[in-house]
Amino acid sequence: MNSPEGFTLDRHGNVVDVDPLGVIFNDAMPLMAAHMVIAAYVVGGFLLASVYAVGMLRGRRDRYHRLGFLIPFSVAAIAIFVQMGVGDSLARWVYNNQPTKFAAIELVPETSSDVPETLLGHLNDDGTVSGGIEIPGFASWLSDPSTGTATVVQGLDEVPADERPTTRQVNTVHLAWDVMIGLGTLLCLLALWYWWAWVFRRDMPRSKLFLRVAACAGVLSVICMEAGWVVSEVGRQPWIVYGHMRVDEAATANTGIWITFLLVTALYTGLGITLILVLRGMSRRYRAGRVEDHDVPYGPDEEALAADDAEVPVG
Amino acid sequence: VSTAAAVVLFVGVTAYALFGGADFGAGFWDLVAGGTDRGERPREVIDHSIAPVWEANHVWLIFSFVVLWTCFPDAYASITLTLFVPLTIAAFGIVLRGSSFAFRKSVFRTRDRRNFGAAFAISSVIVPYAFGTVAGGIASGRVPSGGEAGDPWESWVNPTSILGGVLAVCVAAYLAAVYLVRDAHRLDSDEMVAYFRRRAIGAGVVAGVVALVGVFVLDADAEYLFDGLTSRALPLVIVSGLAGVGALVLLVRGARLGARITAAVAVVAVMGAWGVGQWDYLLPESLTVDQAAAPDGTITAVLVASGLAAVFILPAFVLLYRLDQRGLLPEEGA
Repeated sequence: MNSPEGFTLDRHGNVVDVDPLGVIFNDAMPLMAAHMVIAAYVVGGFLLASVYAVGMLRGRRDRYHRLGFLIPFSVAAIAIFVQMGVGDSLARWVYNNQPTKFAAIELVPETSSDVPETLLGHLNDDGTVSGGIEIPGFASWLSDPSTGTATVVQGLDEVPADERPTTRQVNTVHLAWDVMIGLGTLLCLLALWYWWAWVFRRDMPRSKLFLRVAACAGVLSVICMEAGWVVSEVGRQPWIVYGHMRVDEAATANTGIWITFLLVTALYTGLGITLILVLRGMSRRYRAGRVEDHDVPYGPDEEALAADDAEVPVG
Repeated sequence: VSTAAAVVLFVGVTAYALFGGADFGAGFWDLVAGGTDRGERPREVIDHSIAPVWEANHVWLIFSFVVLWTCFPDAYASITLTLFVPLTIAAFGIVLRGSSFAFRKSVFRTRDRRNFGAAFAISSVIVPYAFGTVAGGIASGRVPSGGEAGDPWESWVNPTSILGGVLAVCVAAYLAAVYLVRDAHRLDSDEMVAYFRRRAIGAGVVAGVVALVGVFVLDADAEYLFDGLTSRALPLVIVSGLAGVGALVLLVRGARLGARITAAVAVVAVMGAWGVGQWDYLLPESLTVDQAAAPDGTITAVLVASGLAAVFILPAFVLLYRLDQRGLLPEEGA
């Protein structure tokens, strides 16, 4: 939907001919799919590892927890470097193919060269940018290093106001972009720390600070991924099918959508709370040792429990 | 190619009615099994029977929806816009059902178990009823063509929809009871075999009566379908009736295997009769299969994907069901 291809429209805008392979393997597909798949490894790895990081911080330093931390964390700590490269290429793809989205990302109201990279800050309705820290010429340089700061970046004013994101949407996209880049860089530094320790000390970092940051890395990587989705999907407003169909043209004319939305929200909030209560209940029973192993779905096996009990004073 | 796509769609819907129906039906018997003590034994059999394959059957629902919106987007738009109330109810029911079933296994206090069990069982009845009303709304021509919304209430609160809903619940309960007889056999519980056999016969008789009453409802409310059922779909209607009676006879005589197959044949024939009865309309008297069809490229892609699915996924499903029937599957998570 960011790069709609592989179909023909008739005069009335109806789809008359479809080439399914062309639709799937569109211009944006390789980079977007790679970015998402690698993000899955980053998020999955950090999220799993963070659970065991918390356990280790509470003093459970047995083999079970160590492996539980090392395997997923290593996967994520490799994937995060690949992700930086893929993300950089994808940003350049957006620069070349969706210049309006790129302008929103980089907070560029008017077309120009020597565009600064603005950290934080926000766009005003009159087209000025206020606040934030500017790195002179850096956005231009990143867009195409071969031409450096002379690279021209297209501004928001190149397209009519009703074909680009609103000021509020631009600010949302820019903030989400800063969050994604900021957290991504932080996770990258964490991975560097991890590999540095392996290379020079042949072991994972021993400090509590590392484990504390690693314990947060799971949640941070989820926030990072969600921020990336906001950049991609808010950044293409007002289009649902880029350049062909607007969101308001696609939306249902049915009334009562709010009721459905509220009900769905209530249902999943309820399910989320129930899930947490049930999981806490299972955890309490497990700690109290009141259940047999086979009573706990997906519970750790006897061997791991024995190892755990041997090394950890219960309490 | 649009005919092939319509056949694929109907195969998906029929498979959902057959396998998903049995799943929901098991929930129905859970609901009416009585208090905590009286219902303990039947609930054990039910739990034992559906735990290994629970939720797997929703594959057919997803498959049907995907084929519908890719191959017949206009019909999909009209159906979802018009019938969003029962469809939302069904979606809520499916979510509640699955999560309650999972939660029930992880809690130990009787009060919690009872609450989750009730949510599971009640949604097991609501979901097939909601889908039945959807079928009724479509069959009686209450969904307009052209991607427009029909009446949000009258489209599923009408004689044919109520018939569809009640019939869906009865058929689900009937199928489930027939399957549970077999499962009780496997658990060597003569008491439970008799228990579910009585209920299978009862549900079969009720489903038959509802179907007979339904003939008059359709005559008055869904003329096009009625005409189809009494002409080109008549052989299927007869097959269904014979299979239904045959299954009852086999149940009464205590046959072990035949009842399951004949019961399934009866349900498949009913579903087939619906499809043939309203042919060649997707939405009776407003949108034909041909008019609703997507461009050839899309349909070809879906047919190829369905073919691949048949090659790769069906063997896995057959294995799953076979292992389940032979009791070789472990309980979830054990």
